[in-house]
Amino acid sequence: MFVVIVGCSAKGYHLAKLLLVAQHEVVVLEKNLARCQLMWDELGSVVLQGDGTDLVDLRRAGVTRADILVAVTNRDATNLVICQMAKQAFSVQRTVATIGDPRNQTIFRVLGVDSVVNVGDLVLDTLERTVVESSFNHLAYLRGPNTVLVSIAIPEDATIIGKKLSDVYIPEEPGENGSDDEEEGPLKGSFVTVVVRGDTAMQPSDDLVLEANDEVYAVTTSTEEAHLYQKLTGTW
Amino acid sequence: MQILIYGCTRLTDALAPILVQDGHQVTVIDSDADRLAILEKQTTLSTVWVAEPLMQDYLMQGDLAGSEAFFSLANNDHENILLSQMASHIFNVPKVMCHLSDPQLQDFYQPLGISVLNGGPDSLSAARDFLEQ
Repeated sequence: MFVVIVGCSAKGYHLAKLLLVAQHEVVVLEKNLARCQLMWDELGSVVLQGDGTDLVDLRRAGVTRADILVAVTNRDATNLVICQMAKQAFSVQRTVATIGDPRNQTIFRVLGVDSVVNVGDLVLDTLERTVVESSFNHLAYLRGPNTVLVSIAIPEDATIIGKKLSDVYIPEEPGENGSDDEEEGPLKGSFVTVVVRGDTAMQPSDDLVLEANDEVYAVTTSTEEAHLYQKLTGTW
Repeated sequence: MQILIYGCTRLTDALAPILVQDGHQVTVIDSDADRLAILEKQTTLSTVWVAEPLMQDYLMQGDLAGSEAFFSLANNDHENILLSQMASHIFNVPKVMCHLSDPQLQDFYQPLGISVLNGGPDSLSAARDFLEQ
Protein backbone atom coordinates (compact mmCIF):
# COMPACT_ATOMS: atom_id res chain seq x y z
CA MET A 1 0.00 0.00 0.00
CA PHE A 2 1.21 3.53 -0.79
CA VAL A 3 0.52 6.04 1.98
CA VAL A 4 1.16 9.78 1.83
CA ILE A 5 1.40 11.37 5.26
CA VAL A 6 1.21 15.14 5.58
CA GLY A 7 2.81 16.54 8.72
CA CYS A 8 5.85 15.02 10.40
CA SER A 9 5.32 15.95 14.04
CA ALA A 10 5.18 13.12 16.60
CA LYS A 11 2.02 11.62 15.05
CA GLY A 12 3.31 11.63 11.48
CA TYR A 13 6.72 10.38 12.47
CA HIS A 14 5.50 7.38 14.48
CA LEU A 15 2.89 6.46 11.88
CA ALA A 16 5.53 6.55 9.14
CA LYS A 17 7.83 4.33 11.19
CA LEU A 18 5.07 1.78 11.82
CA LEU A 19 4.08 1.68 8.16
CA LEU A 20 7.69 1.30 6.99
CA VAL A 21 8.21 -1.62 9.36
CA ALA A 22 5.07 -3.20 7.89
CA GLN A 23 6.68 -2.89 4.41
CA HIS A 24 4.36 -0.22 3.08
CA GLU A 25 5.49 2.50 0.72
CA VAL A 26 5.48 5.84 2.52
CA VAL A 27 6.09 9.50 1.71
CA VAL A 28 5.94 12.10 4.45
CA LEU A 29 5.39 15.71 3.46
CA GLU A 30 6.62 18.27 6.01
CA LYS A 31 6.62 22.04 5.57
CA ASN A 32 9.19 23.00 8.20
CA LEU A 33 12.74 22.63 6.86
CA ALA A 34 14.41 22.34 10.28
CA ARG A 35 12.00 19.54 11.19
CA CYS A 36 12.73 17.86 7.84
CA GLN A 37 16.47 17.90 8.48
CA LEU A 38 15.88 16.17 11.80
CA MET A 39 13.59 13.63 10.15
CA TRP A 40 15.96 12.93 7.25
CA ASP A 41 18.37 11.54 9.84
CA GLU A 42 15.61 9.42 11.35
CA LEU A 43 13.53 8.27 8.39
CA GLY A 44 15.72 8.97 5.38
CA SER A 45 14.52 10.02 1.96
CA VAL A 46 10.84 9.20 2.52
CA VAL A 47 10.58 12.64 4.10
CA LEU A 48 9.91 15.39 1.57
CA GLN A 49 10.04 19.09 2.27
CA GLY A 50 6.85 20.75 1.05
CA ASP A 51 3.46 22.26 1.80
CA GLY A 52 0.57 19.80 1.99
CA THR A 53 -1.86 22.53 0.95
CA ASP A 54 0.09 23.20 -2.24
CA LEU A 55 -1.06 21.28 -5.30
CA VAL A 56 2.44 21.16 -6.80
CA ASP A 57 3.98 19.76 -3.61
CA LEU A 58 1.19 17.22 -3.24
CA ARG A 59 1.80 16.02 -6.78
CA ARG A 60 5.55 15.87 -6.08
CA ALA A 61 4.78 13.63 -3.09
CA GLY A 62 2.97 11.28 -5.45
CA VAL A 63 -0.63 11.64 -4.28
CA THR A 64 -1.89 10.84 -7.76
CA ARG A 65 -1.17 7.17 -7.10
CA ALA A 66 -1.62 7.16 -3.30
CA ASP A 67 -3.98 4.59 -1.80
CA ILE A 68 -4.41 6.64 1.35
CA LEU A 69 -3.62 10.19 2.35
CA VAL A 70 -3.27 10.90 6.07
CA ALA A 71 -3.35 14.53 7.26
CA VAL A 72 -1.81 14.83 10.72
CA THR A 73 -0.73 18.45 11.01
CA ASN A 74 -1.50 20.15 14.30
CA ARG A 75 -4.25 22.32 12.84
CA ASP A 76 -7.73 20.98 12.13
CA ALA A 77 -8.39 23.56 9.42
CA THR A 78 -5.16 22.70 7.60
CA ASN A 79 -5.96 18.99 7.73
CA LEU A 80 -9.32 19.73 6.13
CA VAL A 81 -7.75 21.68 3.26
CA ILE A 82 -5.20 18.89 2.66
CA CYS A 83 -7.92 16.22 2.49
CA GLN A 84 -10.18 18.30 0.24
CA MET A 85 -7.30 18.90 -2.17
CA ALA A 86 -6.36 15.22 -2.23
CA LYS A 87 -9.96 14.22 -2.89
CA GLN A 88 -11.00 16.88 -5.38
CA ALA A 89 -7.78 17.47 -7.30
CA PHE A 90 -6.19 14.02 -7.19
CA SER A 91 -9.13 11.67 -6.53
CA VAL A 92 -7.35 9.91 -3.67
CA GLN A 93 -9.40 6.86 -2.66
CA ARG A 94 -9.20 7.28 1.10
CA THR A 95 -8.45 10.40 3.11
CA VAL A 96 -7.83 10.37 6.84
CA ALA A 97 -7.53 13.40 9.12
CA THR A 98 -6.86 13.92 12.80
CA ILE A 99 -8.81 16.63 14.59
CA GLY A 100 -8.20 18.25 17.95
CA ASP A 101 -11.64 19.80 18.43
CA PRO A 102 -14.33 17.10 18.66
CA ARG A 103 -16.93 19.51 17.28
CA ASN A 104 -15.18 19.50 13.92
CA GLN A 105 -16.02 15.84 13.34
CA THR A 106 -19.36 16.49 11.63
CA ILE A 107 -18.11 19.08 9.14
CA PHE A 108 -15.15 16.86 8.15
CA ARG A 109 -17.55 14.02 7.39
CA VAL A 110 -19.98 16.24 5.53
CA LEU A 111 -17.15 17.54 3.36
CA GLY A 112 -16.07 14.03 2.37
CA VAL A 113 -13.09 13.19 4.58
CA ASP A 114 -13.33 9.39 4.76
CA SER A 115 -12.02 8.79 8.27
CA VAL A 116 -11.72 11.27 11.10
CA VAL A 117 -9.53 10.44 14.08
CA ASN A 118 -10.83 12.48 16.96
CA VAL A 119 -7.68 13.06 19.00
CA GLY A 120 -9.40 15.41 21.44
CA ASP A 121 -12.05 12.89 22.42
CA LEU A 122 -9.60 9.99 22.59
CA VAL A 123 -7.41 11.87 25.05
CA LEU A 124 -10.39 13.08 27.06
CA ASP A 125 -11.89 9.61 27.33
CA THR A 126 -8.60 8.08 28.41
CA LEU A 127 -8.15 10.80 31.01
CA GLU A 128 -11.72 10.33 32.15
CA ARG A 129 -11.18 6.60 32.57
CA THR A 130 -7.93 7.15 34.42
CA VAL A 131 -9.11 9.92 36.70
CA VAL A 132 -12.66 8.83 37.40
CA GLU A 133 -13.49 5.18 37.87
CA SER A 134 -16.56 5.24 35.77
CA SER A 135 -19.18 2.62 35.03
CA PHE A 136 -19.65 4.25 31.64
CA ASN A 137 -16.96 4.15 28.95
CA HIS A 138 -16.69 5.32 25.38
CA LEU A 139 -14.95 2.47 23.57
CA ALA A 140 -14.92 3.46 19.93
CA TYR A 141 -16.28 6.10 17.58
CA LEU A 142 -17.93 4.39 14.64
CA ARG A 143 -18.57 5.71 11.18
CA GLY A 144 -21.75 7.67 10.80
CA PRO A 145 -22.59 10.87 12.62
CA ASN A 146 -22.00 10.78 16.37
CA THR A 147 -22.19 6.99 16.53
CA VAL A 148 -20.31 5.56 19.48
CA LEU A 149 -19.77 2.15 21.10
CA VAL A 150 -20.07 2.32 24.88
CA SER A 151 -19.83 -0.08 27.79
CA ILE A 152 -22.03 0.33 30.85
CA ALA A 153 -21.72 -1.65 34.08
CA ILE A 154 -25.01 -2.37 35.84
CA PRO A 155 -24.79 -1.17 39.47
CA GLU A 156 -26.17 -3.25 42.35
CA ASP A 157 -29.12 -0.96 43.00
CA ALA A 158 -30.29 -0.42 39.42
CA THR A 159 -34.01 -0.83 38.75
CA ILE A 160 -33.23 -2.76 35.57
CA ILE A 161 -31.91 -5.80 37.51
CA GLY A 162 -34.22 -8.80 37.12
CA LYS A 163 -35.96 -7.29 34.13
CA LYS A 164 -35.87 -8.66 30.62
CA LEU A 165 -34.01 -6.65 28.05
CA SER A 166 -37.22 -6.37 26.05
CA ASP A 167 -39.15 -4.92 29.01
CA VAL A 168 -37.01 -1.90 29.42
CA TYR A 169 -35.42 -1.27 26.14
CA ILE A 170 -36.60 -1.67 22.60
CA PRO A 171 -33.93 -1.74 19.93
CA GLU A 172 -34.96 0.01 16.72
CA GLU A 173 -33.42 -2.52 14.37
CA PRO A 174 -32.42 -5.65 16.26
CA GLY A 175 -30.18 -8.26 14.75
CA GLU A 176 -28.26 -8.01 11.58
CA ASN A 177 -28.19 -4.25 11.10
CA GLY A 178 -24.50 -3.40 10.96
CA SER A 179 -23.25 -0.61 13.17
CA ASP A 180 -20.66 0.69 10.79
CA ASP A 181 -22.67 0.73 7.60
CA GLU A 182 -22.70 4.22 6.17
CA GLU A 183 -25.33 3.44 3.56
CA GLU A 184 -27.87 2.70 6.29
CA GLY A 185 -27.83 6.36 7.31
CA PRO A 186 -27.61 7.66 10.85
CA LEU A 187 -28.60 5.21 13.54
CA LYS A 188 -31.71 6.15 15.44
CA GLY A 189 -31.64 5.38 19.13
CA SER A 190 -29.37 2.76 20.61
CA PHE A 191 -29.06 -1.01 20.62
CA VAL A 192 -27.26 -3.56 22.75
CA THR A 193 -24.59 -5.58 20.94
CA VAL A 194 -23.34 -7.88 23.67
CA VAL A 195 -23.75 -8.47 27.40
CA VAL A 196 -20.80 -9.78 29.42
CA ARG A 197 -21.53 -11.62 32.67
CA GLY A 198 -18.46 -12.80 34.57
CA ASP A 199 -16.27 -14.29 31.86
CA THR A 200 -19.08 -15.07 29.47
CA ALA A 201 -20.19 -12.96 26.54
CA MET A 202 -23.88 -13.35 25.71
CA GLN A 203 -25.83 -12.33 22.64
CA PRO A 204 -28.60 -9.94 23.60
CA SER A 205 -31.98 -11.61 23.19
CA ASP A 206 -35.29 -10.12 24.27
CA ASP A 207 -35.55 -12.73 27.05
CA LEU A 208 -32.16 -11.97 28.55
CA VAL A 209 -32.58 -11.02 32.22
CA LEU A 210 -30.05 -8.47 33.40
CA GLU A 211 -28.12 -8.97 36.64
CA ALA A 212 -26.00 -6.72 38.80
CA ASN A 213 -22.43 -6.19 37.54
CA ASP A 214 -23.33 -7.18 33.98
CA GLU A 215 -21.32 -5.25 31.42
CA VAL A 216 -23.60 -4.03 28.65
CA TYR A 217 -21.99 -3.03 25.36
CA ALA A 218 -24.22 -0.84 23.25
CA VAL A 219 -24.11 1.29 20.15
CA THR A 220 -25.61 4.70 20.76
CA THR A 221 -25.35 8.34 19.72
CA SER A 222 -24.05 11.34 21.60
CA THR A 223 -27.59 12.62 21.97
CA GLU A 224 -29.00 9.31 23.19
CA GLU A 225 -26.18 8.10 25.46
CA ALA A 226 -27.30 9.95 28.60
CA HIS A 227 -30.78 8.46 28.20
CA LEU A 228 -29.35 4.96 27.74
CA TYR A 229 -27.09 5.32 30.76
CA GLN A 230 -30.00 6.50 32.89
CA LYS A 231 -32.14 3.52 31.81
CA LEU A 232 -29.48 0.93 32.54
CA THR A 233 -28.07 2.28 35.79
CA GLY A 234 -30.79 4.49 37.27
CA THR A 235 -33.28 3.72 40.00
CA TRP A 236 -36.63 4.50 38.43
CA MET B 1 -29.77 41.90 6.93
CA GLN B 2 -28.19 40.21 9.94
CA ILE B 3 -24.49 39.66 9.18
CA LEU B 4 -21.83 37.84 11.18
CA ILE B 5 -18.15 38.53 10.51
CA TYR B 6 -15.46 36.23 11.85
CA GLY B 7 -12.08 37.90 12.28
CA CYS B 8 -11.27 41.51 13.11
CA THR B 9 -8.69 42.24 10.42
CA ARG B 10 -7.87 45.18 8.12
CA LEU B 11 -10.47 43.90 5.71
CA THR B 12 -13.04 43.90 8.53
CA ASP B 13 -12.08 47.44 9.51
CA ALA B 14 -12.83 48.52 5.97
CA LEU B 15 -15.88 46.38 5.26
CA ALA B 16 -17.84 46.50 8.53
CA PRO B 17 -18.52 50.28 8.56
CA ILE B 18 -19.72 50.12 4.96
CA LEU B 19 -22.13 47.32 5.75
CA VAL B 20 -23.44 49.21 8.79
CA GLN B 21 -23.91 52.29 6.59
CA ASP B 22 -25.90 50.17 4.15
CA GLY B 23 -28.31 49.45 7.01
CA HIS B 24 -27.19 45.96 7.96
CA GLN B 25 -26.95 44.61 11.50
CA VAL B 26 -23.34 43.56 11.89
CA THR B 27 -21.69 41.38 14.56
CA VAL B 28 -17.92 40.81 14.61
CA ILE B 29 -16.22 37.86 16.36
CA ASP B 30 -12.54 37.84 17.27
CA SER B 31 -10.15 36.81 20.00
CA ASP B 32 -8.43 40.21 20.08
CA ALA B 33 -10.39 42.38 22.54
CA ASP B 34 -8.42 45.55 21.76
CA ARG B 35 -9.10 45.45 18.05
CA LEU B 36 -12.79 44.82 18.71
CA ALA B 37 -12.93 47.83 21.06
CA ILE B 38 -11.37 50.10 18.44
CA LEU B 39 -13.80 48.93 15.77
CA GLU B 40 -16.75 49.41 18.13
CA LYS B 41 -15.75 53.05 18.71
CA GLN B 42 -15.70 53.78 14.99
CA THR B 43 -19.04 52.38 14.04
CA THR B 44 -22.25 51.01 15.53
CA LEU B 45 -22.04 47.25 15.57
CA SER B 46 -21.96 44.53 18.18
CA THR B 47 -18.88 42.46 18.92
CA VAL B 48 -18.31 39.08 20.54
CA TRP B 49 -14.99 38.38 22.19
CA VAL B 50 -13.95 34.72 22.14
CA ALA B 51 -11.07 32.86 23.74
CA GLU B 52 -10.84 30.04 21.24
CA PRO B 53 -12.19 31.33 17.97
CA LEU B 54 -12.55 28.07 16.08
CA MET B 55 -14.99 26.44 18.48
CA GLN B 56 -18.49 26.11 17.09
CA ASP B 57 -19.97 27.16 20.44
CA TYR B 58 -18.59 30.62 19.99
CA LEU B 59 -19.99 30.97 16.52
CA MET B 60 -23.36 30.20 18.03
CA GLN B 61 -22.81 33.02 20.54
CA GLY B 62 -22.56 35.28 17.51
CA ASP B 63 -25.86 33.71 16.32
CA LEU B 64 -24.42 32.14 13.19
CA ALA B 65 -27.55 30.03 12.67
CA GLY B 66 -29.76 33.15 12.72
CA SER B 67 -27.51 35.15 10.40
CA GLU B 68 -28.44 35.79 6.79
CA ALA B 69 -24.83 36.29 5.75
CA PHE B 70 -21.44 35.19 7.09
CA PHE B 71 -18.03 36.60 6.22
CA SER B 72 -14.94 34.66 7.27
CA LEU B 73 -12.22 37.30 7.16
CA ALA B 74 -9.47 35.93 9.42
CA ASN B 75 -5.83 36.22 8.38
CA ASN B 76 -5.53 32.43 8.22
CA ASP B 77 -6.88 31.04 4.93
CA HIS B 78 -7.36 27.54 6.31
CA GLU B 79 -9.49 28.76 9.21
CA ASN B 80 -11.62 30.72 6.76
CA ILE B 81 -12.09 27.63 4.61
CA LEU B 82 -13.18 25.52 7.58
CA LEU B 83 -15.51 28.14 9.01
CA SER B 84 -17.16 29.21 5.79
CA GLN B 85 -17.94 25.61 4.87
CA MET B 86 -19.24 25.04 8.39
CA ALA B 87 -21.51 28.06 7.99
CA SER B 88 -22.87 26.76 4.67
CA HIS B 89 -23.19 23.07 5.41
CA ILE B 90 -23.94 22.87 9.16
CA PHE B 91 -25.63 26.17 9.97
CA ASN B 92 -27.26 26.63 6.53
CA VAL B 93 -26.38 30.31 6.31
CA PRO B 94 -27.71 31.45 2.88
CA LYS B 95 -24.85 33.79 1.94
CA VAL B 96 -21.28 32.92 2.87
CA MET B 97 -18.09 34.66 1.77
CA CYS B 98 -14.57 33.50 2.49
CA HIS B 99 -11.40 35.60 2.47
CA LEU B 100 -8.47 33.77 0.85
CA SER B 101 -5.13 35.46 0.30
CA ASP B 102 -3.42 32.51 -1.41
CA PRO B 103 -4.17 32.63 -5.17
CA GLN B 104 -3.84 28.87 -5.44
CA LEU B 105 -6.46 28.35 -2.75
CA GLN B 106 -8.69 30.89 -4.50
CA ASP B 107 -8.45 28.92 -7.74
CA PHE B 108 -9.09 25.65 -5.97
CA TYR B 109 -12.05 26.64 -3.80
CA GLN B 110 -13.97 28.97 -6.15
CA PRO B 111 -15.09 26.05 -8.38
CA LEU B 112 -16.11 24.11 -5.27
CA GLY B 113 -18.84 26.67 -4.66
CA ILE B 114 -17.14 28.92 -2.15
CA SER B 115 -17.54 32.64 -2.76
CA VAL B 116 -14.04 33.99 -2.45
CA LEU B 117 -13.04 37.47 -1.31
CA ASN B 118 -9.46 37.98 -2.46
CA GLY B 119 -8.65 41.04 -0.33
CA GLY B 120 -7.76 43.08 -3.41
CA PRO B 121 -8.92 46.62 -4.20
CA ASP B 122 -12.34 45.52 -5.46
CA SER B 123 -13.10 43.41 -2.37
CA LEU B 124 -15.45 45.93 -0.78
CA SER B 125 -17.62 46.34 -3.87
CA ALA B 126 -17.53 42.58 -4.44
CA ALA B 127 -18.87 41.99 -0.93
CA ARG B 128 -21.69 44.54 -1.40
CA ASP B 129 -22.63 43.09 -4.77
CA PHE B 130 -22.68 39.63 -3.26
CA LEU B 131 -25.14 40.69 -0.58
CA GLU B 132 -27.45 42.29 -3.14
CA GLN B 133 -27.54 39.25 -5.44
